[in-house]
Amino acid sequence: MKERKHPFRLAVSDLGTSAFVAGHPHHKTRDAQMTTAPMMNRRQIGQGAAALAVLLAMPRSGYAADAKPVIIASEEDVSTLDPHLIRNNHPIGTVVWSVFDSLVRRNADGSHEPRLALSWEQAEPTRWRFKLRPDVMFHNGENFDAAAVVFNFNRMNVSPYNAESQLWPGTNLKAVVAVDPMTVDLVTAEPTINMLYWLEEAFVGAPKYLKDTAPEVVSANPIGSGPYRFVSWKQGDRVTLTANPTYWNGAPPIKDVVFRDIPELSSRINELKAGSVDVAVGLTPDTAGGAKSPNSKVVAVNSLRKMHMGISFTGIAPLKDKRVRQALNHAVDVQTMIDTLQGGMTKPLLSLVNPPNNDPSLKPFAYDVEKAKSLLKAAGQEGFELQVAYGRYPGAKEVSETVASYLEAIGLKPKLEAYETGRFEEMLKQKAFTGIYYYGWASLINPSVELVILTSDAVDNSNGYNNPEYDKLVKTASVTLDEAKRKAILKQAEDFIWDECPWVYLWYLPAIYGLSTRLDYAVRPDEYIEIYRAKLAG
Amino acid sequence: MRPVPWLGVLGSLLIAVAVAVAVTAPWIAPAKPTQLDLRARLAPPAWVDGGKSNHLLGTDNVGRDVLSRVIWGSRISLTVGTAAALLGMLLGSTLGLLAGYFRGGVDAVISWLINVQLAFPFTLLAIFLLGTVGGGFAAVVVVLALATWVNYARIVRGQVLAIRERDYVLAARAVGVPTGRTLLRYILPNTAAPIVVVASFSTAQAILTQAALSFLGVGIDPSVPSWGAMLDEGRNYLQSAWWIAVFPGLAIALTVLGVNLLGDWLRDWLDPKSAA
Repeated sequence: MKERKHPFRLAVSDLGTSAFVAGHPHHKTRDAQMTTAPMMNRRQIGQGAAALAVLLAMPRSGYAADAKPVIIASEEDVSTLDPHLIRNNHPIGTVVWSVFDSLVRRNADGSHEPRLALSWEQAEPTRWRFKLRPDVMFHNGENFDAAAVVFNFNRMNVSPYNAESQLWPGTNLKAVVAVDPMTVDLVTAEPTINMLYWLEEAFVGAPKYLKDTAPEVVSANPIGSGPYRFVSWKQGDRVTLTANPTYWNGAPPIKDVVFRDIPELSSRINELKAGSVDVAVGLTPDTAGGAKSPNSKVVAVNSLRKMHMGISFTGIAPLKDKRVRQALNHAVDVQTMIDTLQGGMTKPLLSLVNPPNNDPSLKPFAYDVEKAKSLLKAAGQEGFELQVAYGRYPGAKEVSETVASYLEAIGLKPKLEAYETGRFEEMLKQKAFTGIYYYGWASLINPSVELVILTSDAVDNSNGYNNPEYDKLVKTASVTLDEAKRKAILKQAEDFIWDECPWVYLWYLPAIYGLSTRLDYAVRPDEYIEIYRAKLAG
Repeated sequence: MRPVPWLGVLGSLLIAVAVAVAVTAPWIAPAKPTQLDLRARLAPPAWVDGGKSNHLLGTDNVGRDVLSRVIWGSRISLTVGTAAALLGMLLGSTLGLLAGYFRGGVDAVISWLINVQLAFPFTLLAIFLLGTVGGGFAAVVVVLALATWVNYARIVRGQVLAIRERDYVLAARAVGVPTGRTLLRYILPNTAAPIVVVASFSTAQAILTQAALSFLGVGIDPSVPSWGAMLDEGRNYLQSAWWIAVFPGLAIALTVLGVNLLGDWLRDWLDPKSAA
């Protein structure tokens, strides 16, 4: 996943139109209904006739007649629904995952599951061959085949889509070749170990529609082959989806899904408790307790998002000294911050590589004020002034204030600076911070991809960390196919960067969801909500 | 004989308390306003179950003493409010004086400026300005002065339009008193009463707007305790820890009430028509 994607509010969409309603010409749903009417014996026939009348009047018999739509409340609206412009895991990623299919799907534990691809093999080190699923149809009636894959993947390689889609740079992709209508070859410039990972974020839309339609319309009116069909998007308010009755894997258990934009956390919680919302995204440890009610429960997972204070390498001189950066890490009492601010709902970072792939021998930097002071002294950098920057997302201020007070305790002069979210993103892109900044690195579960972000030429390298030795290690690992050898190199890179302290290491962001009791769903640690895997309880 | 202006007295009293608190903040605040104590975060006020006697009004989300922050926050509110009102007074009175006295083109231009300013949603303008120049105490004062100057300018202009036709002004001009001297010596003093009244209301307006800007996260340096920023922090805790938002909110309300009551009373007192 793209590194700068994060769960917080992003810039608003550039779309001028406020609502789009999809016109799906192919409503095949009504014909299929009667066949599923239950079998009944003679005694029941009178009742049955009445029931049958009701059944016939129902649009889809697979769903309970009184089932209200499942409503997912997030702190922001989607800014686009173009399948190749996924800017954040949620809500854009969540909606795209529901409306579109990728060749391969990533399971919650990082393992791979066939979707539009039935099977795959690495025919040669630089050639991956995918057998495609036959008889798949897009929501507008177009057929899915190798040509559709070729068209979609090539689209990801041109502007503006190549700014968000990472399939090509992530895998060193050179060409996408349709071998026959149901077989596709992906040819890479060098052997890659990350093919499946990036394919899982490469979604396939209806090719003719994508080709013949204005980009603004595509981004507001998505047509894929996924478990849900797009119904409407009212900007700043809601996105409505409905189950795709002709989905190749069978229609999803929940019929109607609505994604609502409710920026205020307390409003999300109140609606959850009142039963008008089924999933409340982005609860905080302090508010989680208040979200429990007869209608709702709270579910927390240790997310994979690594929260940290990024240390700028393009700013003030003292931060370029490793001893200073280590001193900052020793100065902050991460465990106490977790116990209090995070309600004990998470753990300190153990590595830049997410579990379970991390090197278990790495340990968090101990809270040790004296050691921090002596490191500063050894570096000859005491009492300098330091920018502590944060955006306007939840909890950022209290974390930054707390870190600042710890830094004050080792004699530094921290200066808090608040940034509006759009401005904060801009500062990151330009590597313009001079001190430290509060940030969360995306939810990844692939060591090679996770380590790339601190190489000097990575687009998402936002603190300007630049070390040729580290670049070489990561680069070598990404083209080493031998698993044991690759793991050894990755471990070396992992240990190296941990000691380098490009960040003040904090914790894994606790992902806390409020769920209504009528919903049966297991949340993922990487922020996507797979609503097609949810069921209504009872 | 006028009746005792109880509301005026109450207003003065409230302001006196606020000023006294602001001036003596370093001595009366029980703790440093920036002193964190994570282990004691979200402690309720002392009289509530679980409250601690060393945190009379409880602690906020990072364990800072709410009472100390309310006390220190008074400094920002009062200084910004007063400074903005004074700067606005300087700007607005001068322009109003010029517009009313010279009339014609000068008046047209200044009146046009006033109308433009009144037509513009001010909070938006303030966010825009502070977003471009960055925050800071001086910037906030200037921006708030921009909000209040029209109040003075309109009132003063109206007054001057009337006063400039009075006999003593005509006499002064007839004997050749220079224009500047006429303005400052004979006209300005006679507009003083309404200026004082407007000043009190403008102070209240400036305090409120400053709080609103801090609430929105623009303006004053976030590490300086301010009532508006405290309200913002407390917003997400209204259901679990009401004291974070309620006490700074009360402080804002009482101070603004005090200034407004005083202004009301001043208006009555200075208005010759209402003299009994």
